[in-house]
Amino acid sequence: MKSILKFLGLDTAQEKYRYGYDPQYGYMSQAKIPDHWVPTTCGYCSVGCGMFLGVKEGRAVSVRGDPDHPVNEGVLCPKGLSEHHAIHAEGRALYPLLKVKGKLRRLPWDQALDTLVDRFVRIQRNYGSQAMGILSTGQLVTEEFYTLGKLIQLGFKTTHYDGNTTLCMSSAVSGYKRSFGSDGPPGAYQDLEVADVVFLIGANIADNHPILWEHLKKNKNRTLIVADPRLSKTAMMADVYLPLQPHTDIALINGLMHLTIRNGRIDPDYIREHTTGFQELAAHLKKYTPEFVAKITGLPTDLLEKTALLYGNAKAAFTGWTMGVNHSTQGTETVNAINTLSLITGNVGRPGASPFSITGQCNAMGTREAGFTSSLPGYRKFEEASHREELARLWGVSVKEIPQKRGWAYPDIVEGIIKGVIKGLWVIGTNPFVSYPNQELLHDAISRLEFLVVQDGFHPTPTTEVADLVLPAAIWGEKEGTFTNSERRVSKVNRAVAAPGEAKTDFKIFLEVAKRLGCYEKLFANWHTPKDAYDEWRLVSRGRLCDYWDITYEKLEHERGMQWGGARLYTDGVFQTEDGKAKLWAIECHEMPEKPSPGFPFILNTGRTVEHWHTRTKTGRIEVLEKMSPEAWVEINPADAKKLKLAQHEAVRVLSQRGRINKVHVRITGIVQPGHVFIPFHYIEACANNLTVAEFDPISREPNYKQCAVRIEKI
Amino acid sequence: MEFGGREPGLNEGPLIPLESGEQYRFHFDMGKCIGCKCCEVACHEQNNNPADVQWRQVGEIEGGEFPKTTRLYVSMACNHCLEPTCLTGCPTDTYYKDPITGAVRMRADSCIGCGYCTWNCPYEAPQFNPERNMVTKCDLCHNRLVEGHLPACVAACPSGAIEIEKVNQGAWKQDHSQANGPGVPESSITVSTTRLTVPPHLQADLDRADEYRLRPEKPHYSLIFMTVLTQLSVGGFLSLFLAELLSHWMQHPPGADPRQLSMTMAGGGLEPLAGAAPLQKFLQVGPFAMLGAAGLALTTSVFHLGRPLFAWRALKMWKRSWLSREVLFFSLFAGLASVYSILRWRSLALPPGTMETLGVLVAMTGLAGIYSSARIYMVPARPSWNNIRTPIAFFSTGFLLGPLAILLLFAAQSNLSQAVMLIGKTLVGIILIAGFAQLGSILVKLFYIISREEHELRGTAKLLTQKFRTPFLSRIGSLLITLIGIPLTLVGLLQSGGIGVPIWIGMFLFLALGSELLGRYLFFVSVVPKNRPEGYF
Repeated sequence: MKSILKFLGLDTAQEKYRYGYDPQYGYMSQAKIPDHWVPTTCGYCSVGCGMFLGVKEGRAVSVRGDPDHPVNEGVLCPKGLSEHHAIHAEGRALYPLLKVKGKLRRLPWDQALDTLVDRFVRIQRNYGSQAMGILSTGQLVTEEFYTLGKLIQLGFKTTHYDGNTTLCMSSAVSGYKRSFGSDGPPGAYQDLEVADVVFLIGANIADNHPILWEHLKKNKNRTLIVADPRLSKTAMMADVYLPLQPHTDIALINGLMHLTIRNGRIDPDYIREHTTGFQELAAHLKKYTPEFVAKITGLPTDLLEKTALLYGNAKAAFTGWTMGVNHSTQGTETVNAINTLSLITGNVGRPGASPFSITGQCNAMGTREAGFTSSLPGYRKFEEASHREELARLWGVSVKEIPQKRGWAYPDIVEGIIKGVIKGLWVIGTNPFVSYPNQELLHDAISRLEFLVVQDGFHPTPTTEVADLVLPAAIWGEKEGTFTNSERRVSKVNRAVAAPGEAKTDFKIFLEVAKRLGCYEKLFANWHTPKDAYDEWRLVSRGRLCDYWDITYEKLEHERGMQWGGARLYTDGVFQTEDGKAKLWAIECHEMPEKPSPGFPFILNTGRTVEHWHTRTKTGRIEVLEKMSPEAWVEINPADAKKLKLAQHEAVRVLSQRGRINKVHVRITGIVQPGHVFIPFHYIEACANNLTVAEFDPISREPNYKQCAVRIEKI
Repeated sequence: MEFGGREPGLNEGPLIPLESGEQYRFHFDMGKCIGCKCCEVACHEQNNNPADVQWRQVGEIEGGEFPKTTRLYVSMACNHCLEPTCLTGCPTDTYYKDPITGAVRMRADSCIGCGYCTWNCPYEAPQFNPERNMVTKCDLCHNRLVEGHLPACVAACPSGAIEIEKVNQGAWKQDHSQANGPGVPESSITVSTTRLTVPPHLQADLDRADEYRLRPEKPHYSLIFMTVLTQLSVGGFLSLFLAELLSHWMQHPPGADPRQLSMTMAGGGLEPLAGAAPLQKFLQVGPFAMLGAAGLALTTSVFHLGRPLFAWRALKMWKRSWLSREVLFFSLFAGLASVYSILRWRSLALPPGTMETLGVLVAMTGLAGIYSSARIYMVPARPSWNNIRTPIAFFSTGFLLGPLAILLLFAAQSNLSQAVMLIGKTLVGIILIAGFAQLGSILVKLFYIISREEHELRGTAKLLTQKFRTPFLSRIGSLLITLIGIPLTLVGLLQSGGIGVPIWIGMFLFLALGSELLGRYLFFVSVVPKNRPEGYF
């Protein structure tokens, strides 16, 4: 009947398209006007935008930016603006599933959790406690990371626990530790508003952190310098664009330091009082003359001179970076070079003056601080006896129970599976079957496992499909806790709607596992809500650099987030090293791990697009975003396209030594250099990580996603 | 000029009031846009539109060589024009220029979903919503503006690229050069009010990202049948009138004594002219056949509408809209043709000249209908349609298929003896003239669009010669076969006694009708409309 009325034109869906007046946000679609707005923080990236999630009859129907939030002042990116659609998207994981005779079958939660504990304990009994590995994420709330860390390290007693944060920000972590003695980004978004030079290296914020533009926009006097081998949206907006060759950032920074010293634009007082290692640095930089650097980077010497003058003359210079720096076999060292440049010019700890890692995931910071992976909670060091003792005292456990060194990082866990050391794996909130480099190797590893648990908000995903046990988790909007953003701002995340089906919060799952494992009373006595974990975490972090003691839930609700450590770190020039001085690093620039060859003549760069988040588990299910960016593409320079006789939109095959993409559409564009191609990594259908090389930073263990050699073939 | 900064949410200040002769409009700064598409998603959320209904869209243009490449983003919604062609073309008077804000708005529920505004607008601002079977579009968030809130897109922009400002309409009409920008259709078509700020020193070779993405337009099957069959019907009626005139002339040759002839007809003393009796029958049956074609066409056309029940509303704007006029003339044509057909069947005693007058009226309304049809398509936003070849093609279709259909009826009912061959020959003559005119217009069109630089015409050429190459060649081939075959067959068969003539003519009618339907299909799918720049996908 309804379809007849529609066909005749009597039914024009007027109800759906009615407008109404929302007291908070004014005139808008009636269907989007909620019964109430729930204040929360965006669950995608780590810009950490404040927002309101509109709830109508138990469903999330709309999202609006929080005009009073200092991070985003009411605006949101396209992912944030459509984030409520993710909650009610198709393909949510609804029930625990166990693989029986090759097929995933529904089973009750009790049995699922019993199975998890039984199987992992059995594996640990047979092969040792280190035979269990955990790959988690940067997208749980800090309360969950803190809980999971204790559960894994003190409950299961394995240290082979890492997150996908190693695929993302671990180079920044290692770099901060080596330069400043501790992790922790020193600057703040406000620096973008007041710096006279904003220098972005390998950071395409227009695509990946567009809301930072809100801050940059206010800075009327800034000079924006962007270094990127690809003329990204961000590079396009730059006042000075440095089209350097890939993997040559260190040469560029060394060259800039060389020129800054030569120009007398360094800060000798700051260097003397707050740093060590300047002599070695200066000696090392001697050879990084503009001519030498020009040869490596491909940048003309006058452009290097100009950039060095701009940077050197700046009263406050902000140097921001993202994955272009981190995703490298020299990621950590590049971070050290950036920090060193900032230190010798006195650009640390002042308004507008800071080296600054623009983080990836919404709560990568939270897991770095509280998560018990790359360091002990509260930026404590595994190798520091006093730190272990302090933690043992705080937790009321024997100091012997606190591990003395870090377990394996993500790629080493994968390697450990292949070697047969790790037999059981628990994957939480991440989708390695799109995101891990060299997919073929990963497939081999996963096939060797005796037991794979995947805990996720969605099913099926490429990773849940191969799991032995799938645990359905509540996602953003369905749980409470805190996120910490790039500028160390802790913000509250709130539950707006109930999780679908039988999905439980990760927090609840961890506590249930702890009860079955028999460590609940010891580690989590009387914990029922995330606030119980948070209050213990506040106590554990008290007095540390990342001190949460004063940051209570109540204050967070009122203050629209609070930055631990204040607006900026190291304002007094005292660092977290033993002597309180920052370390200057003399770094050599090495070649990329896989260079183009006659068989594979192109350098493949991978990255993101504004419409999608990571492996599209969420954004691929949101129509308005999918419509804008429905499939992967390969960018190729017009000169190369001509040589290969490729037409715009033509489908091609892309191959590397490791794997292939069977079909991807050509985008002929002058934003990539001749000899380079670019593919976004979001798409399982044309998975860029079939091609990427499994080479890792020896310090941070971060993969070298940004360069590998490929060939393009016509289909 | 600009009112207030961009302050979203609750903190927006009151709207700066308009003075007389002013309206609100968008300002878009290409130099500030970072292509994040927040505006697009915010618009969807504001209006609850599905992903395919894009009131606002962000497009891309690019040019230059690395590292001096320029890529610019163009976010565009409705431009709230001073001479909006959506409004002037609308057959139902759905659009109006809001007296308070100057927004081009739509009267709720008045739209019948004909989609004509979507053809008229060079910016794709009106969008057909399949969930509603009607067209909807950006109204500048009129109701937010009057409440003192910014439009959703403006409030959502993190780089301050979209703003609301006011403009003096008179002054803008004089000089609207700032509404022009690279990749954007020229503002003169509709006097777009959106002010574009374009970065200085742009390369000349900026291409739109959608330049090479050829997405054929919808075929509009109901319109293919509607236009071809109405044209056939009109051509058929005209052929009948011609046949009648000729038969009349044959029976009353000039110079013969009229009295004697009338006696012949009435009394039967003399042999009736050979073939004349079946001709009478044919002249009675023919109109019904043509009326049938028209009826089928007009019935089909109603289903082109999103809301067929409200088809009658399309008559409303006959003073302004060619679409209304088309509906009006074809309705009159169908009505008059019905009366004509019935009167012809009943052979009533009528005052002299009645049938003749009626015939003239049928012919005139029919021709006016075809002309109105053609004028519908002659809109600046659709370059490959907007020229004299459209009416030539439409009339040619009518004068090719109409006479051919009549020839078939004629041949089926009468032995095409020498006596009445004059009629047959005349019809074949018309068929050939119309057919070759059609063929000529196709080839002229092809050469014209191939030689042009405009993005849209180049696109049409590419569609016809690449994507639709086979149908395009079939279209030309089938037409050519018909035009060569008909005279040859007739001459050959007639000489051999004329057996099987109707079968052959029927086959050629079938072939010609197929060719014209295919041609009309290509007409619809190969038009590349002017639109705002789009993205790579």
